[in-house]
Amino acid sequence: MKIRIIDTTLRDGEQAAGLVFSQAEKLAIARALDQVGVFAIEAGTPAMGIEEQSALQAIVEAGLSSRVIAWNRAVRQDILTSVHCGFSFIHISVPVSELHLTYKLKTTREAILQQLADSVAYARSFGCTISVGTEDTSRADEAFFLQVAETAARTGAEYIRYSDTVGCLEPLQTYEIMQRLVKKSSLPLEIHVHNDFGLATANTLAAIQAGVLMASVTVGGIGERAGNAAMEQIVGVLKELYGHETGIDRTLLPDLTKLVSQACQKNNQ
Amino acid sequence: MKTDVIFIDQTLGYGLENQGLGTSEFIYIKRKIAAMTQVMFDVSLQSLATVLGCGAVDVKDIRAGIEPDAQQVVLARQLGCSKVKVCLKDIAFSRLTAPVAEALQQARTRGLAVSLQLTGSCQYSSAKMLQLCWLISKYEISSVVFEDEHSDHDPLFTYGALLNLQQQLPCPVEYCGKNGSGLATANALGAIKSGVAYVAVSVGGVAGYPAFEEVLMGARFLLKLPLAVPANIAACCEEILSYFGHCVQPTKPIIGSDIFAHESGIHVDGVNKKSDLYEPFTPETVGLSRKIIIGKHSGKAAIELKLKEMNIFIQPTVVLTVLEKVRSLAIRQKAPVSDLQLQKLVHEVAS
Repeated sequence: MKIRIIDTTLRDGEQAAGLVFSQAEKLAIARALDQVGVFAIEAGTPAMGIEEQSALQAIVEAGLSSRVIAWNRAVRQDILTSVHCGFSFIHISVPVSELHLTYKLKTTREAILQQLADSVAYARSFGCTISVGTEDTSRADEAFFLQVAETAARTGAEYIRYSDTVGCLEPLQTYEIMQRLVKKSSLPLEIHVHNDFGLATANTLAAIQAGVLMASVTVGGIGERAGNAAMEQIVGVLKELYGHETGIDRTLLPDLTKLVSQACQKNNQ
Repeated sequence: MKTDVIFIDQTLGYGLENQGLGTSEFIYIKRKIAAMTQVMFDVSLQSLATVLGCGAVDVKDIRAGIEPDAQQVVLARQLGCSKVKVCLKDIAFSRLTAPVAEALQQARTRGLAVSLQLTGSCQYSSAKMLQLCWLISKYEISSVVFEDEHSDHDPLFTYGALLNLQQQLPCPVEYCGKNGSGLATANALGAIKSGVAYVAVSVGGVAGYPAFEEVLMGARFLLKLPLAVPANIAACCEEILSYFGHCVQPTKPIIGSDIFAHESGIHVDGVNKKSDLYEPFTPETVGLSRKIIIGKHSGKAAIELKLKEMNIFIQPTVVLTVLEKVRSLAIRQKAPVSDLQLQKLVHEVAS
């Protein structure tokens, strides 16, 4: 079985509080990720501003074999900015838990579905390939997640991300949920988890055991709060415990880890 | 699933064997750990003898780790121990060697509670399972500890295998996982979910055991067991680890200083509206505090929040200009923007 590795070191990884990658570092990491053989590189969020757009444009123009993906809110202007940077792979994220809909966006399920449909259609109008992200999925109603997946599929998205945004899943529960969703979802699933309880690796593996074929990771597990699932660990355990292939050249991982670790050093002010 | 969990601490044993803890440090750390949770301490007989030789130590919550050797059983009793853990590696349960049988017999005669630690696969043939049951009954074994010595198992396997063992064995089952595959905490939670009430842990995951703080919090918040979490758990763990020369990584789950640090615009805006949008539990639960970092990923809401905290008021129309300058500065200096720098940027924009 082949598992696709979607690396988000340059997007969610860099969102670790206080972390800044320079433009040169982002490009070097993207090249190294491409070299180790990740399926996709989630490179950043173009809507963050001119400097980030310039860094991302350099990555898009580097001619990498891996997909290079831009992260977006379901907002037309954000998507347009990504397209202007040269991206043809667009990730569009919407929150799906009642908690996020009520307290963060003060919106409704219907409005989110409409916003997603509009955004996917808009991005597709530029010929882009779309993946959809669902935020705080592990605390959301499963039926609504499936509705979002159906909407995303209908409007032309390629796959959908299930996010354990605050790392509150445990592996046996993850396995059960994913077994159900793999059967019912209109789109293939990607698993994206956080490490708040030290369970990111286990939850990613449990999802894969349940039939999920795409895993979101970061190098060294860097990311917000306690971080994300670590690529080295996921790739290693998939091969050693289950014999699953990822297409990752494990001999190159130490150099990649070293590169990211050096880029994580802050300048002293 | 049992509602009570007894943690089998491996921190102290590791400290004695590898860090040269003195008797006073041993007593202090033992008290610290015992104050945090229901715990029993696994310590090797040799280390325990050294500590007891240097002062009075309460051994009622210590289990001495011994080889299957009658002399060690006798020594454990002489040292005041009432519990021993005997490590058996891949033996045929039906044909115990004379020294092993003698050790188990001695322990039984002397009224010691004996735990058998078994390594290797815990999936036994029905014949081997029968032999193990016979051995448990014959020597009145108190518990069987299954150790995943080489981190070969994942949580689904651990759960299923331990569930099966508990159904078949006539004594309580314990679980001792290792973190070679990054699955130790998950395996320990899998064991608890299967009904195991005794799990090996170490503070901060030292020596590769499941991290105590992660298993406790996972059992409390994910498995919803009625376990108490000490409000100073982060500081306690940090202090204990300092005796071993270990620093807590800022992003270490549960106890790292940065696990409640937020910078990205969406997250800061979210925690400001309702903290559980981006925090799985409150900082107060573990004795930490929230930090708002201003930097490359900041958004408008973060700038407004930070300025409000600093009692600085600016026109809403200029917040975006400040934000642009903040992002540029953070990228230029490859570091977050300090309060002083933010103040200067606001002054520049305002003037």
